[in-house]
Amino acid sequence: MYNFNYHCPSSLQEAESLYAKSEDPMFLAGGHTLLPTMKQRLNAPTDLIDLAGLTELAGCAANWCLHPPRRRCR
Amino acid sequence: MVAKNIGEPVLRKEDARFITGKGNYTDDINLRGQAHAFFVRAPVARAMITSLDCSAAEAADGVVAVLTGAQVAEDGLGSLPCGWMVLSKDGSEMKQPPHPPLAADRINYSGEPFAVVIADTLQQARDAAELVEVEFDELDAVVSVADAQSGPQIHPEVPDNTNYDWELGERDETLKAIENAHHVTRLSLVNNRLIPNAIEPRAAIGDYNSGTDEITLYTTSQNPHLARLVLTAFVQLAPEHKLRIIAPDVGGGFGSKIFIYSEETVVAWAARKLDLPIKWTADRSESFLTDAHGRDHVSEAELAMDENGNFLALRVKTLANMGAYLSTFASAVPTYLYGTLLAGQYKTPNVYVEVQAVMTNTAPVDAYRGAGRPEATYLLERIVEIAAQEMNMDPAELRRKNFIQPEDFPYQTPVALEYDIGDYEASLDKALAMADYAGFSARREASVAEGKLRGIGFSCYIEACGLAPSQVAGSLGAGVGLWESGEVRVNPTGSVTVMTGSHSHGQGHETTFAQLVASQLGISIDDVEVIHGDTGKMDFGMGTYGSRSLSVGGSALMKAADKIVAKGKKIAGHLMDAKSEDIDFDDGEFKVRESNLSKTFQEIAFAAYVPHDYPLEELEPGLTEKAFYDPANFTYPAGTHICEVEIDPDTGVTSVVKFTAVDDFGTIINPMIVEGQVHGGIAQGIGQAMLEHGIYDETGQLQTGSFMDYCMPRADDLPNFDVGMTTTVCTHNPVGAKGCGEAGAIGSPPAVINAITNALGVREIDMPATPLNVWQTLQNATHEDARGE
Repeated sequence: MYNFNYHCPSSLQEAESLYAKSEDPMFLAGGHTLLPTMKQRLNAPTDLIDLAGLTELAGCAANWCLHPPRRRCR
Repeated sequence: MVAKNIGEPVLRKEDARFITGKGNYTDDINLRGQAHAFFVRAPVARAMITSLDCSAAEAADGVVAVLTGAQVAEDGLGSLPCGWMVLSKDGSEMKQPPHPPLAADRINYSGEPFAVVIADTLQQARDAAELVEVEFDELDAVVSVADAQSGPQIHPEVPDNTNYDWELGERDETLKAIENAHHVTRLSLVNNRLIPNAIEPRAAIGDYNSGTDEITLYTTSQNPHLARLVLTAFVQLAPEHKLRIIAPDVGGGFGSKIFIYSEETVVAWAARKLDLPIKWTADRSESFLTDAHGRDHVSEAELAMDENGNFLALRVKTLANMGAYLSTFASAVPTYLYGTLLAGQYKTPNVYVEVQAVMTNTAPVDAYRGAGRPEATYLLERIVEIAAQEMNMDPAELRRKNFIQPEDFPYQTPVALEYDIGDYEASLDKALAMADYAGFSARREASVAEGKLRGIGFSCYIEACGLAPSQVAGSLGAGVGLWESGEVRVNPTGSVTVMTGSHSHGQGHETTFAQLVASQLGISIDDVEVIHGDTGKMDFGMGTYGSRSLSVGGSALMKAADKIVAKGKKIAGHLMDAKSEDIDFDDGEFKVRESNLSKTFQEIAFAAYVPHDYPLEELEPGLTEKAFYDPANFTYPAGTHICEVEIDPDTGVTSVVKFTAVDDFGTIINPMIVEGQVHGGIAQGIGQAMLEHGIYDETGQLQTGSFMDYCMPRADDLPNFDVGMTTTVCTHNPVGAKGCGEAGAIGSPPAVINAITNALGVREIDMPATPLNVWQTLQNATHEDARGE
């Protein structure tokens, strides 16, 4: 793994602005592929922007359904 | 013989430090001022190095030195040798290519190191390694076993990429028996390549003392003395008395830490060259690429029977992949640890085996848990299962019919070994009962009712362990003796320090050996400390592999403890004014026979070190005894494994729903530890049978170089194991033990595959039986049936 800057923004807007400011940024969601490839030095972002702290992206919602719902969509 | 402690499931003494993070592994050791090594490895499998420029790397931040294969050669460091000479059919010696610790001009497998960067920090070494400028002239690689002999020649010393063409057994008799037999079952099969994956990767720290001209190498070794012997006598790293090897706590080995590798050698050499402690710890990718791999055989076999299913002859032809170099014991694995086991538990009168060892541009292949014996067992138990199908006989009963019987021992097999004792029917019967074989058809019906397939498979294995009688091994080409040493040091207060040449890397020697010695001396196991793994502390030892620690190392300790008791009797006789032959030693007390006089073990120990009232003219003070034990024969653990699987035909997902193992390991010191060894071995065997496969692409790139690509067994892949024991005591070692470390990995793979073919109603499926493989096999079988109709 190469050195990189780690960010943990607390809002979408902050995440977007970090992304825009950084030289070669990547977002970190689950990291199942990104982290192993970084450890192998196959991926080398200058800035890693962790999405875990974004309350706006927390949870899962749908407000429309392709099929008649068996349960009510929330 | 010994009582108390023996056979007790005592909790492991070493676990307190392991489970509280107080273990002392090589990477936990940090020496003052140490630098870090990072190896520069070939990204291609076969190439000539046309230019190598290290100047930019040498100039990088924190770099102490960049050392290359050329410097290794200049310093006269020798080749890493293979320690077992195998002769071909024509009597010629095996062809062994040189194996330089760092490649100088040619690359023979992907991941082979050709330079090492030494820097203040690991990060600096790693960064600088990217500045090493190297150009390769890439050559076509030889990768598969099948193509090896017709492919481009890898080493000038090895024509046709063939190290040897070996045979064992009576060829003409075997062929005649096959020709005249009522029925011959034929089978081609592959034993899949495995990558060991010990939980602790290999690591080494080289430390040089210029004042004494001594090198100390801390490393993850299963056999530190053997490593010292090879590094001094063959590699010429240092004189033997100027090299100390310490293998502290080691986190698993499974064979992969027997061998003498490039990295450990280079770290020790560089430490002296630079007069600097140097540390290297493999990352997991390096382990995948460079730890010696296991198995990788392609075989053809024929089993001849009469009309009643009696085995008449077995013929086997095997191609064994050695990889790019001959690793330390590689040559012995597909020969003397494989061909010799092909009689199995059966009275087959004629067995003939031919093995060709071939080289490929892949990582070296060597011993991995079982080493040769899993390959023999897989072949034999698969062909016997198919023979039962073809003869329309019950697979358990076909085996039973052919078993060597208790009255046949000692039994000389047609393939060199003489089995001393066993009772194979006892293990089979117990396993059949535990597995509820009688209830299987009802369980199968229940599965079918739920749309699932269910199968049951057997494996009756035997192994040769307790390596090994030195003179037998020597006559077969071994470069070393295979005895073991032990020392029992009684301290003045009566506690005991035990030194063993065996090495524990998870086996629990600190408990098992303590139980053994404590029983012999009638003291508490808390008063026994077991020390191992340091050439500076104990006599020469041979280390741990081949399920040898208890049967060979334990026997040495028993001999040493017997000497302690014998000397104690002399001291006790003096103190109580009796003849030493009139003294009985029982339960920690020396008693004068037919009297009420007695002295405790502790009193005798104190008298030996404070010899105020002591027969000094006849007896030396002190109470320390050593023993070396060279076994008279191999030991022959054997047993029956029965596997039951349930398969979802829509997805190929296969569950091992029941696994029964009944083993005969002779005398058992700690049944809990033995059961743990069996569990781990079965897990590894199920891993080989269903999940694991080391795969290279046609250019020699390892496709399975991480845990994302190489599937290790997880807890949810495994059922609860039903483990049982039968016992016939080994006839020729004082402990009566046979060894238990490899049995699980040897016995289980054919049981699993036999269960899967039984469930699918097919003749063959290759390992690993992944869901895709199982589903595809089922589709092919269904389509063949459809075409047949």
